[in-house]
Amino acid sequence: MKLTLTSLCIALALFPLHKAHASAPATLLDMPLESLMDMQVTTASRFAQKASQAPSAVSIVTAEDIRTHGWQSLAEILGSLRGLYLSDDHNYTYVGVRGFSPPGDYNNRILLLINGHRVNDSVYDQALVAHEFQIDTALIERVEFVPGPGSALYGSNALFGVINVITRQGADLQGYELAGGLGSHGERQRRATLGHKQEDGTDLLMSISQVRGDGQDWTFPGSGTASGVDGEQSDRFFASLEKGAWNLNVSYVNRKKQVPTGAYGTDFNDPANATTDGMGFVDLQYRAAANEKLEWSARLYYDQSWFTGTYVYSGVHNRDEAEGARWGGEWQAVSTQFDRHHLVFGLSYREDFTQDQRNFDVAPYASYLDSAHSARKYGLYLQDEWALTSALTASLGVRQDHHSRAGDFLSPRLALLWQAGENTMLKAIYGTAYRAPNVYEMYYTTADALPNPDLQPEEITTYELIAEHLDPRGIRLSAGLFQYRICDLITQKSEAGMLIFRNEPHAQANGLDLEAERLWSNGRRARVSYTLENTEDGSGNRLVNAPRHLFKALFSTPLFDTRLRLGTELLAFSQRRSLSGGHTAGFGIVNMNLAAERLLPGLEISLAIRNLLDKPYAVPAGSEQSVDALPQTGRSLRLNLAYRF
Amino acid sequence: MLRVLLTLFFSTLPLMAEASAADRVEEYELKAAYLFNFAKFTEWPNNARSGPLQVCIVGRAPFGETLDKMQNKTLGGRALLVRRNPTESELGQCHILFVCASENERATTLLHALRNRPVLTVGESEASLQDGMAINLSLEGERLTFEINLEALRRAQINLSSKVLRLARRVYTEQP
Repeated sequence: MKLTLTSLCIALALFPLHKAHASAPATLLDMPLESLMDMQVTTASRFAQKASQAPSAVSIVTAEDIRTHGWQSLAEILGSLRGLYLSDDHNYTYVGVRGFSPPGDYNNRILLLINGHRVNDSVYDQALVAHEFQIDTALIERVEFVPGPGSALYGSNALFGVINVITRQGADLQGYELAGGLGSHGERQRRATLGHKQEDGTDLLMSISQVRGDGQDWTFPGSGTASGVDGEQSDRFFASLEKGAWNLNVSYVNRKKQVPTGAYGTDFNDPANATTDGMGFVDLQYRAAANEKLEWSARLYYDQSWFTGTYVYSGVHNRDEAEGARWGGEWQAVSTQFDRHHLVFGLSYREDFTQDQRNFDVAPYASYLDSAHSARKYGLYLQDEWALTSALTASLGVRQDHHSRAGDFLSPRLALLWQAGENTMLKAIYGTAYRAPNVYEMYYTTADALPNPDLQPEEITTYELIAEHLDPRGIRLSAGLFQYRICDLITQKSEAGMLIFRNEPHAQANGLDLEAERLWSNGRRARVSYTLENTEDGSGNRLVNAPRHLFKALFSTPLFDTRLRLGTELLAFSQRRSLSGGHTAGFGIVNMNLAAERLLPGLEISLAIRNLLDKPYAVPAGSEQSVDALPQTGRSLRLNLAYRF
Repeated sequence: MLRVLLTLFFSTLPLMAEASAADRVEEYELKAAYLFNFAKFTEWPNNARSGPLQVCIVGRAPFGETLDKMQNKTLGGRALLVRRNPTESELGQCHILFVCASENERATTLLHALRNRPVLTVGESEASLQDGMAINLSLEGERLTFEINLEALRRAQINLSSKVLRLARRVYTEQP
């Protein structure tokens, strides 16, 4: 479907913004403090906006960080975080956590949420993180990454971490914004946003954005050069409406990407090789307080997702299709009724009523797969943050899930938090999580892929020790030790030329995290992190696509009396093992962004350069590729303009 | 699909046109009015007496339009400037910094960066004063009250009028 800006323009015309209201609150400012103190207050809801009430070493990225570093996709944001690494197969971008990013893993071990709403799809459990993600980075208020197993609160998929993307509100904009961008490889972006908050608290944000890109030419050893077959187009719409206790989110994305790599043995350099991924949801939330110490919220949602892949084999178009649809509801209560206890209790129900997959040749017609499935899931969870003493808090969480296909799961999580000194916090965490195999892993079959309906769920057990210290000079230090053990890891294998998913008995990751961050009062900021990840399978072999060392340094500073802001990042990774048993070399890339927010009133200009030094580098390829390593993007520039009025 | 979503969305727009019930006082509109009053009765050191008086808000809360209205006011001949979510470089220029409860995790980092600078820091959580903020706003039943940390005021070289101190529910002379 073609998405244009016309619809938004019509909306803007129909919906004039009223900025000036003269009513009671104006006089509040003129009242003396004594009188104000006698006024009766309507309490605002105090629902925590945190991704997880459970303690962890949470990483937070704010809208300001995004502007400072010029990040244009969720993937670029995640790539800057401690311990995470990216791989791009020129179709999707994959996020590696704790040394896990095996081939065939469509980010399905990370739970991705938008304002608390699950967006991993119903067929692949896939978390889409680049231009196929639903939210334009300009609409992000903050991103919270909670590493570690999150099943005790969130159920399936939260194996390695939970990412919650919180969107901006109308009040943050209070007007209109038109934005456009041009970049290397024919990249064009445009966006129109309206934001408005009314006197009575009603808040509306609505945005439409488009990305178009021609991509670049890629040379793959043995295959040749793929030229003009790397195009991308992405259309997005997002809206949120908050009125009183109600909150409505509507989101839509449709993204088409040509696949230049000749994956799955398709005809190389044929422009028809492409995939289309789309998703949309409507989510309605209601929040209320029964009394001062008991608050609850309820959520009702409907999601739809679609995928079409076209693969050309000797001129014959093979079509791969998937369709997912689900609805669900959640109810959660937060109680502080009992002294020293902060209790969270919740129920959730989800019905994936469509989990369909088809694979067929268009002409001459031949069908290889036509499967329809559905699943029901319900869960029940309880978490208690219990202040044992003024310095010691225990966090106990447990969730019971029932999955109509995979069975029952109990996911406990225990943590101890010790305020060891005025500025020092120690945490010890034991966590568990699970992931039920998805319908793609169980039932997908074509001329070169086999199903495996006997796949078992994979389960993870983790132990973590974390120390955090805040130095009075404005320096934050953190160190963590972790051990992750996975049983029955679902892994894509190539057996006699056929792709199939199998349970690997064991895999394990041990490692440590170190991070230091400093914030200067003149606005300068630096964050440096190092992660050691040692990831092995049951026989002691290093996992594929798992760098042992990760180093990141981010620095930003205001320039010319804060008129300009410079953000730089250095991301460096050691070598990764590839499927053939070889290695892709370690590499370091530098990204830089220069942003001017106040050169002219309402105008924001930024210039971002990714891979500034044009470092050539490659990452291990999956078994569907004809090559062992995939080259990644070299130096690329992007110029962005945004005008607010 | 998109057209359906859009239609659905626009059909909710008439909700926006409803008149607001003006008689009750929203918590954060009242909090904004408190901030304005604190500004009225605060004396900043010489190096923070030029330019507009900057009221900075870190985090998000339903302040309504009270903040915008504050923007049109002057205090002792100084214009008021409200900054929502100031950039790090703007932080140091704030005269009053309000940290919303949602941003508690960042509070300590912010405060360390502002240490000894003439900024009146105001929070709204139990830990605010322990974190080193000067004033904490809290609800007592349906009334909004505040506590003051004199040690933080001293560090920031800020004078708060006795009129305000008198109204505080509690004044700590040392860092609580």
